[in-house]
Amino acid sequence: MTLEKLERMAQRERQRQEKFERRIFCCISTACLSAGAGQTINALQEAVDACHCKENDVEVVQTGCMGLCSRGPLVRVEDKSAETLIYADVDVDLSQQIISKHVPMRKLTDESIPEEMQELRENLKKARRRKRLEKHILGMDSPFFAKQEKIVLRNVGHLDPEKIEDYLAHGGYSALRHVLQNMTAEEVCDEILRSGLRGRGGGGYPTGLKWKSMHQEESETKFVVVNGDEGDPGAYMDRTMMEDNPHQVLEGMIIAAYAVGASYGYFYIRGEYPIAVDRIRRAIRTAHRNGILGKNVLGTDFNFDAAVRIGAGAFVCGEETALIHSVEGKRGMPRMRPPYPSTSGLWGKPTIVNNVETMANVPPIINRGADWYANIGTEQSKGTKVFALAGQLTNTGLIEVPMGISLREIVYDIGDDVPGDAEFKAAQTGGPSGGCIPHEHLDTPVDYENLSKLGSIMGSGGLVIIDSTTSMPEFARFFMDFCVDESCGKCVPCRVGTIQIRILLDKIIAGSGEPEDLNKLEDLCHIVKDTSLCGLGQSAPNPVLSTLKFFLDEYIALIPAQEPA
Amino acid sequence: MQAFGSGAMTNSIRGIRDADCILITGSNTAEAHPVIGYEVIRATKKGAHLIIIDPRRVPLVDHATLFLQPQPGTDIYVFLAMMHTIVKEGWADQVFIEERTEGFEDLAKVLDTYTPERAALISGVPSEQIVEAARLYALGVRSKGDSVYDDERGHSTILYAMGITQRSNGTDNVISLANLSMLCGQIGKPSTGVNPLRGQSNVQGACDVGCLVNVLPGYQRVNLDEPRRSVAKFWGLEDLPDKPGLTIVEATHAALEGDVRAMYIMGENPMMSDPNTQHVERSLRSLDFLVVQEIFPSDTAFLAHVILPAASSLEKEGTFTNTERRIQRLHAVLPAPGEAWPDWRITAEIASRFDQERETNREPGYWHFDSVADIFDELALVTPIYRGMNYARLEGQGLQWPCPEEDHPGTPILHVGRFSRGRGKFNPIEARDPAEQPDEEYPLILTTGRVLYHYHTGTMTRRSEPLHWREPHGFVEINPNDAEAIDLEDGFAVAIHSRRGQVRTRARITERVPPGTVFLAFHWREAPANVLTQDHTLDPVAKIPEYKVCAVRLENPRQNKK
Amino acid sequence: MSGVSFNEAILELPMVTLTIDGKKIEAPANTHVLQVALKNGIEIPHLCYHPELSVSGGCRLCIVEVEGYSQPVPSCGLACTDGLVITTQGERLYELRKNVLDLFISDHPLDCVICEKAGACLLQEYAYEYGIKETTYTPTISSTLYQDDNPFFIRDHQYCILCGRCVRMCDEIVGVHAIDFAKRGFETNIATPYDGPMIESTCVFCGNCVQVCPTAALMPVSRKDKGREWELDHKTTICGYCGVGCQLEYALKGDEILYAQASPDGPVNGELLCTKGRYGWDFVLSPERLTRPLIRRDLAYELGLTSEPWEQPDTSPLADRQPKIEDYFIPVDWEMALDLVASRLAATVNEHDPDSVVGLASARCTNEENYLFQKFIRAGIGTNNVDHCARL
Repeated sequence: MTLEKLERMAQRERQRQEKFERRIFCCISTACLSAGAGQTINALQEAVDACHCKENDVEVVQTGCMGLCSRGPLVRVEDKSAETLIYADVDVDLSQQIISKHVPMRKLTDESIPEEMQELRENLKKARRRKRLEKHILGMDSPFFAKQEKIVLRNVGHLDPEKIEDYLAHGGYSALRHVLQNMTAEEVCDEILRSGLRGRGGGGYPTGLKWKSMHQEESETKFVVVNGDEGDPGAYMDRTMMEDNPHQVLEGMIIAAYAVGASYGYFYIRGEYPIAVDRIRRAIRTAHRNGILGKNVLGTDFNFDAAVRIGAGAFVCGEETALIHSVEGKRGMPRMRPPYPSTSGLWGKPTIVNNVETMANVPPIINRGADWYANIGTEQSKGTKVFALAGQLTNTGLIEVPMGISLREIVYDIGDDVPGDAEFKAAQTGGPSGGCIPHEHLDTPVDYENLSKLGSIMGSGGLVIIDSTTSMPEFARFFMDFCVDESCGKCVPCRVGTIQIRILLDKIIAGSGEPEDLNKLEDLCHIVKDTSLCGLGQSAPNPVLSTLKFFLDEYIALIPAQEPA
Repeated sequence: MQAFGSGAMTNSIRGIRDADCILITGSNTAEAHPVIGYEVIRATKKGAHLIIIDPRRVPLVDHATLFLQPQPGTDIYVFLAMMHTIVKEGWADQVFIEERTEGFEDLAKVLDTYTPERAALISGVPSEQIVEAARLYALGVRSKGDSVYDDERGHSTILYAMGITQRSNGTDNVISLANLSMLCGQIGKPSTGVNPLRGQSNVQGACDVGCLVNVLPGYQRVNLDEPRRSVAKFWGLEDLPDKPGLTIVEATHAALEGDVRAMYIMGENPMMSDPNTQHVERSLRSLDFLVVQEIFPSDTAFLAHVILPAASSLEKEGTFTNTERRIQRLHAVLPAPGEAWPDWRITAEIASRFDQERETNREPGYWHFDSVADIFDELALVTPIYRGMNYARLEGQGLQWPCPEEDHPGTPILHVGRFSRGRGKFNPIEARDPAEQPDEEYPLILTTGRVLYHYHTGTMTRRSEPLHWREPHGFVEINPNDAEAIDLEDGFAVAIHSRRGQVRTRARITERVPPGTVFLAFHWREAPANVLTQDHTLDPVAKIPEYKVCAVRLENPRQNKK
Repeated sequence: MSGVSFNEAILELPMVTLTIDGKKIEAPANTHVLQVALKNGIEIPHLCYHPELSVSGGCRLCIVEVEGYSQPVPSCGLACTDGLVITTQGERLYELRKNVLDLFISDHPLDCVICEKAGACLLQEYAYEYGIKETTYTPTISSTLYQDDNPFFIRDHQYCILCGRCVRMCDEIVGVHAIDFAKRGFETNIATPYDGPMIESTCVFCGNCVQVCPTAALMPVSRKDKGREWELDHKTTICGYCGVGCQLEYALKGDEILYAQASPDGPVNGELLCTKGRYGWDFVLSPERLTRPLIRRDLAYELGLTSEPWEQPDTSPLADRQPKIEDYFIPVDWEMALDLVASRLAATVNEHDPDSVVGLASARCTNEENYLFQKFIRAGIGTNNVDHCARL
């Protein structure tokens, strides 16, 4: 019953979309919105209205991120009889040009046109004559797009995140259907294990293993938690997924719940992401209405329900044990593991915590098979990774690349080099927990193992490019400051150690450091790394350690020359 | 106790933390026995279910899975309905019943009519709650985590206190709890049992050593010749009186009738602690002679002819027996102030002078003891359950009675394998209602008890600076509904009337008490709760007054002025 | 007798064998390495661990080396498993622990010379053991908040090392959760909700947090400015309040009690007490204590002890203001008081019968006293009229 209904919904939506000659997509994701996408989409719609097209001629669709956030608002025009084009930096004026170029204006008698529209129609006619438009076209074959491989983000920017029909029309929930109809829970765990998918939150633990051990726990009650507490400064992969394709994350979560035997789940989303909270809640509601959540999911005897918990913006709550405390309504503080949450998590019950991106990987893996997925990437790191490319680059935004791509390709091809006269200096991966990778290691393949060999981490996907104008000690201090503020205060190395690291950095940067301060700094970093309780403290010194390793000169230059004794 | 053949906590306090299910009734454990409250909280944090049956929302309810709130005086129906359900649903422990008990058929017959639905009608507790409580208790169900015990049935324990005993049917209540525990086999194992939480530092010991009207040391009945004569022999006498004596409440009545002429009171304050204060005062005033041995000028002391200054517990040596039957050594920490003496020395001096006055021909030194250790040695000799103890053995951890021989390790759990009386006996009990029911004139029910920061009649704690700072004033707890009825605001004065008297105190408006019930602690001499309580209907067996239920009416003095 | 000792009754837990510092040790499977090591006399430094509380793992001092692990692991949270091989001492561990202590000390005043906890402070003990005279870092005190908002205990945050023992005690055992960690990072401190006064929190003033505090962050008000730890005698006895029978230990300087605490070996209460037991002992010092035998004025007049006639007023002693004891009674010596009592009791028995005398014993007196009392009533006076307030 439910299945048929969903099938009908998908069919109907596909037919509806196919009827249109052309569809104009405007990104309303956060970056584009803050660049004015709100006005852009209104202008597009008004202009379309003014054209008085035939029915089924054109549709303006609000959609998610298209990637090149530095050039937002982005608008994509899909025309049955023409090449698909993406326009960048689309303001109101440009919107009118786009419409006037792509949408034929119907000739009407003057009387039939409302007065207020006449002016707009005139403007549109004039706009056609302007030549600005060409400069705003982004070629789909430019390296920015060509070098990417989209699995997780495949549908992001192609569908309306607020419409379940759109997701269904794009094949949504077919993975869930397949799983519930044709696979045992154990087979799902095996499939995920075989795919080689690893935790995208940064830890890189094989997802299939996590699920399997949870599957084997005997307990009446188990929980699935989706970790949407994306805290790295500048990172917004998970936010984008939740905002722009919430159902894909939800679908992954339900499959995970089926695989591990959970009957209840939470989305833990930071309070700074109100749109993500709203979209996920809406997705849960519509899924519920359509028999995808609740009792007897898709008409089977599998029951699962989900709810949203909002975090209060503590970085440490990305750590799974702290996150669990926070969901329980307690102060978000990590605890020692073992026991791992898969044995004793939420309210003492077995719980898996998976990152948003990990969950979003699940439906494509089920749909296309573990073998297909395992073919992408490197020996030990399979699939793709989404990065929030930021810093001093020409192109910044959200990218998805296959594991194993070199940093050089990301920086020079996708990112199109550092703008202006400055030169590339380092790439910072993994946010405040990661490290800096200098020029000489640009050919390193990006995967879990190689990044940690360089003293950095994959992290959740923050990727900041630093150019030659930046002082590395100051850059390290920026991240240290972040960790000082975000330490939960439970263990002394992190609580006191980070502030002592910062005091030493302050001293060195102020020019009053002594040569032995550098040794002291390095020693202290190792103490904090080796003795902290959770990942936050254990990785907090990484920015300092990696800059000490690769940019020691800059530190030494800050130490005043010693007067001979 | 009639059911098992002895009356004390059957299990140990330390075992509570390992229980799988805890049933607390008539005990405000967190305030009256905080350290036992900690054990309960630990157990719940590990995953034990906690069931509380109490008319008042006591603080531990915050940690409970189930809170059954019967109208005061109707809890017996809840207990009976729980047993009814357990028998009906097959949750009873048949093996235990067959091997260890007798009289099950009689009980089952009585239980037949006590359905949860009937209990719900009378007590106001929803029948589903009663059924669920029965299931959790009977089967020892946990909310999470693993039991430390490897048994099919989890271990459930019952804790109770004066809330069910200070009632005209107190004995019935206790027997019902004993029946409940035997029905489910929840006795004679660790972390199970029926456990009265006793309110005072040595109330267990005072009972053990014979300060009760019907038993000699070690609960040897005065009316049984053999044990009585054997005690008499230890004391160098032919025999001892065989007629049970007068209890406190009976004695106050007898005094007014002229049958009791003199009283010797050691460290008690009946003016505050006994029911119907006006009657107590009349009775004490009527005596020819009253001597009070005290550490403070209590309200009772003011009625005495002679007051003898005693040492406090910090100033003397000896032993206390706690509620889990553990005898522990008391050591003097401070010297007694002024000329105050330890009570034993005073009693010994009075006794030997009394002998001289009466010209008995006892050897001189009959009442002479060099130290408390000497007294203890004699006590151990006379008291079978203490016989294996001496001061050397009691240092450190103490010993739990029974400890009949010098190499006996003491007994943390009673009734393991076998009840003291052999088979455990089910005593079929029918429900009885409280003696005094609310009526038009006195529409509310008063229940009395303690608050966390004070102890008993307040003579000690109200003289402690920090405790006084935290809880300086008396108060009566009133439900917002009842307060609204007389236009009473929080913190304002209110008068409470009963058939016996009235007290004035400040109102604390709170939902801790249900509508129709008010709560007043008996620590406050400015608002002595026992002015209100009744003493005419005692529990027929235990002779305990019904402190927990009496009918009262509230009056808002400001309302009258308007 | 139908009973067994507690140990026999408790279930046999599966045992595992592990090696700590070359010593083979058997331990129940659900225990942790630190717990087992301490029980076997192997000392591992620890600040946040407390046997009564859940494992925190925050102080990082109890780290040990585990065979097969590259990094040291905190032993407090390390479960005992068969074949586990542990080393608790060594150069690397020593250095790491020393460094962690160094960090603790960088955020802790070094005013041990005037600190009342000195001698009982765990941080001081470990600093001594690891030879830390001062921090090698920049001394930085995270909080200097001083909260003395109640007469039970003082919260002096500069000494707080955030081990969280107090928080866990309050939540896990006392169950009121009046305090918790607040704020973040270096600013983190222990606070009531919104940092309001203690009395407005759910605090029940049991002081169990004070007992488990390893430093001077939580101290009893009663000992302030009264003496140093090594000047104090500790005397153990049983609490005189309710029937639980907690063992407690009074810390005295001469004849003055400075504070009370649970004596950790108490079979019932361990390290726990309630507010009455821990703080309610000062009644013994009250000036209202009875210190001399007293005879009521009317009887004294009758006996010729005073020339002033006096009549007992009708007003109840429970009247709003309790009368003054000296208005009702005059002091006498023990001889006179005891003789008077003995003769009056004897006269009553002589004139009436033994059953006309009633003795009320006390649930607050010792076994010995109660035994003697009932013996006097039964064997001396000759009646079973002996009762006490067991039912009240």
